[in-house]
Amino acid sequence: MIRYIWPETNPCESFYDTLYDRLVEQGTVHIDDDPVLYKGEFDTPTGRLEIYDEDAPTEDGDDIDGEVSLEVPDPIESRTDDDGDYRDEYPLMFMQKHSKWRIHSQYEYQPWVREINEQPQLDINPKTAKRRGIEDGDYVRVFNDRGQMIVRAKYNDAIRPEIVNTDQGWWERDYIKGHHNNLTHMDICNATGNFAFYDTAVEVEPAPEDLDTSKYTESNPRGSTPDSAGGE
Amino acid sequence: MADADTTARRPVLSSFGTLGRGWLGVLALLLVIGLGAWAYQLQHGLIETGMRNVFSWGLYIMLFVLFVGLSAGGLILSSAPKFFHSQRYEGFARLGVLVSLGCIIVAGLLILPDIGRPDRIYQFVTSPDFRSPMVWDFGIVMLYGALNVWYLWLLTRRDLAARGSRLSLWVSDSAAGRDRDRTLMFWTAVCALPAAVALHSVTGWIFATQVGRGDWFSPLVAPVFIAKALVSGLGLLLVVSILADRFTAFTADRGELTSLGKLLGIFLAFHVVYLLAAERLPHAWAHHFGFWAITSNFLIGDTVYFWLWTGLGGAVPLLLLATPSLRRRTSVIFTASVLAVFGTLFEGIRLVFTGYQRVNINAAPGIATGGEYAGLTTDAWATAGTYTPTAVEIAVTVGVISIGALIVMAGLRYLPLQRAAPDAAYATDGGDRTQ
Amino acid sequence: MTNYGLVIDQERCIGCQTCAMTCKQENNVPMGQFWNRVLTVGGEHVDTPSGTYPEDGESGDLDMNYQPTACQHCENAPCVKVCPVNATYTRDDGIVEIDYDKCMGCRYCMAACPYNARVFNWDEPEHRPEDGTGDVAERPQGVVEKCTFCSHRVEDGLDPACVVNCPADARIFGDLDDDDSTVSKYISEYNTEQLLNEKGTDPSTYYVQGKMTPGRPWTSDKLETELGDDEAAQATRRRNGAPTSEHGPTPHVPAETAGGDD
Repeated sequence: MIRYIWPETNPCESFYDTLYDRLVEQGTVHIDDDPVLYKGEFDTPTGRLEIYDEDAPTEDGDDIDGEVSLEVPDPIESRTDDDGDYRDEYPLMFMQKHSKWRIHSQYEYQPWVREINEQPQLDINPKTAKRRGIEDGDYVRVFNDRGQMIVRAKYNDAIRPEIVNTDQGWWERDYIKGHHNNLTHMDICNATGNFAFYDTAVEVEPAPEDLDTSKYTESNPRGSTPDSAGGE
Repeated sequence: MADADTTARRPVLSSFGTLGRGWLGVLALLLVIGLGAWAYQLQHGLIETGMRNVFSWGLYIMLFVLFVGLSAGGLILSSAPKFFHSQRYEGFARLGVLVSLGCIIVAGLLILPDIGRPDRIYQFVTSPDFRSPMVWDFGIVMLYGALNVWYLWLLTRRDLAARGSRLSLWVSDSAAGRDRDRTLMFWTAVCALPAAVALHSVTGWIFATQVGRGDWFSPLVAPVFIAKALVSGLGLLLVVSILADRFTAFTADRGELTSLGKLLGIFLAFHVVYLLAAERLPHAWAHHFGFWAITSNFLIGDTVYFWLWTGLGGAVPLLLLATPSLRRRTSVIFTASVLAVFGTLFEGIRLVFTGYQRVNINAAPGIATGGEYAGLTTDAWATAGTYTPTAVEIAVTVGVISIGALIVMAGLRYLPLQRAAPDAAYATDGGDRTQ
Repeated sequence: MTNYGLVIDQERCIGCQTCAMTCKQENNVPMGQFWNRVLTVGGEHVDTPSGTYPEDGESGDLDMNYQPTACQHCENAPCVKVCPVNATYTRDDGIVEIDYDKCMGCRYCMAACPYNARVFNWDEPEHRPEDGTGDVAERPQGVVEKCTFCSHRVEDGLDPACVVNCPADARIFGDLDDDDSTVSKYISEYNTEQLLNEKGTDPSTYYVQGKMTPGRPWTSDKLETELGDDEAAQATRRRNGAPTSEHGPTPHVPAETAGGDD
């Protein structure tokens, strides 16, 4: 069972000592605690947090005033770039979304999670991939002026053709080559006042043929054929 | 006594000779390698095989199915004529039962290395569930093996006694005894034919009762198993007879060989043409609309095993045996029989692949394969079954098969398999001996 | 008679894999094996949909669903019928279980199971952490193993680990023979499917599709039959969709957390 240690529940030091002893003894410890911070109603029609809205405005809907666009905006870099051609060279917007598999880079080494979420992948729309000669499951090179990473392409129709994604939190040792943060920049986003890692311009191409991918392909029961590929 | 020596039938190998010893040496070597491989597998477990969770039966079961089929030919061929009080194919009867016995022993032994905990196999006896087709099969394989031993001894015991062999046990040779044996042979034949039908049907039902494995769940599987037992069993008997004719004192009657070749052709036509068509046509018709779509899905298979079976192991021997001028040649009968056995092997392989290649629920990530754990980068999943036997599996299997071959060799050397003298029918009617 | 069954509300399931993980922990499942898997019904990979991304104002056809899949504990279980040595058997309470001391590893049950719910210890079982986890003894090499509905917990009056730890309350365990149990109510009131229904195995695992249920309405670790009167009354109110507090829709707030069953 998944248990949490919630340090705010009891500040008493002896409590932690006992807790530690129990943890050592039992391996896991259950603490009386209420982890839910918000118990009231949200100001939404259902009273719940609403993440998906069936009635959200669409580009061609009647309910929009012409200001709404679902176009992917120009990356920050091409807006700040002096010659302005950065986007032509690196037309894809690279995100590193938070995944359910980790908290940032924590639990990267968790063997049970890694059985399901085995290696870093590039979520890529099949259209975008095929235009570049990339098959599902191929290793690809993702690059821009700053650096590169080599990851496995994962066809994902849920991702916009202009966007690619690799879940954040992977360590350098997990990559065949490079790292996702070799690609990111330190430009600040006006809206959040924070780094805009989600807004990174890249290009993707098939990885070099002589690439050594044995780290992930050696103990792979399916070989590397994408047609029977199912795992993560 | 001197009289008995000249009239009683003899073993077809009076000694093993250089060639025979060499062959025995090869078989013994294969057996030792097989035992070594099995010991290795016992020590490390079934991880040393190519089987995994998605594809959980492999070479051992594929060849179990083949050898159960192979054990059909001899027993059926020697008992069917006796059932009709006919002397036909008498010359093949003893060799046939010997080959049957070797094959059913190989089949039974092939189950042992497939079991994850062979130390618990006694549970078959102490805690059986009679709903399980595997329990039925366990029973019928044992019964069939025992029947083969009894029948082989019954066929040869008077000659063994006449030659003073201890293998005759307490039986002595006498005209009255041979008469009694003839009656016993008839009744054994009466039991042997339904036992053979039951053996192949029950082995088929191991697969045919399973709803979870695609085309296994088909009422046709049992009849198909009978048909392929007839094809492969007769095929193997012809192969062994022709080899024995070539290398030992055994003589195979040319006319009967041709006639058996023709029979093999009929069995092949029934199995590879008729039953296959009967199995495939309804599916092709139901799932496709256009005439050519129906026809092509009816006629064209999609795996290499299918073509090895129906083409090389089906159509080619059928054509050879269907041509009268060709089937009179021993070499042609031999080739056709080898191909028929070879084809049946791939029919069994295809059957197992049919069940495991596709899984019913193949959504990602799939099924945990249960292979060796090699740390964080292990890919544990598969959405389709794949299988390649390992060297260990092949070595164990070849070792077990060599046991069968050794049994046949021992029979050739120590059992009176010789043909009855053409001018005397005493071997079967037993009444002509002068005391 | 008690006949345990499981309802999985696919409309509630968020694909978080907690049931897969907690199963592995609770039952000491070896590495490279899973008793409980969360499948993505949709695209080729985990967390990918079928269909194509809508562009230029097209309406989309993307579709994806999560299907947690373990042993279905079928009423007409093919694995039980094929086991030559009675090692796999149906308990009086409907749970399909394996006697690991009897199993001889012939794997006929794996051939029989249409759901590929069974795994075989091809290798010496390996665990992380190496000493293993949870409350169930390791199974030896050479035997088949699978989900037991956490029979060791059920016997102690506790719900299976995957049920208790589902953060979406999407898994409800209970007695199918009791018409008043939550599982029976949901099966009669909501649209439920059984996997591979056409195979005639009659699974005791039911999947809610279409309208979402209120989920598992009680918050303790206990089996529904073990609830106190207050807990049971609250569970019934929540099951019927009635508000259980002045706030209306109630997120899952553990009412009491004195579990500590480890």
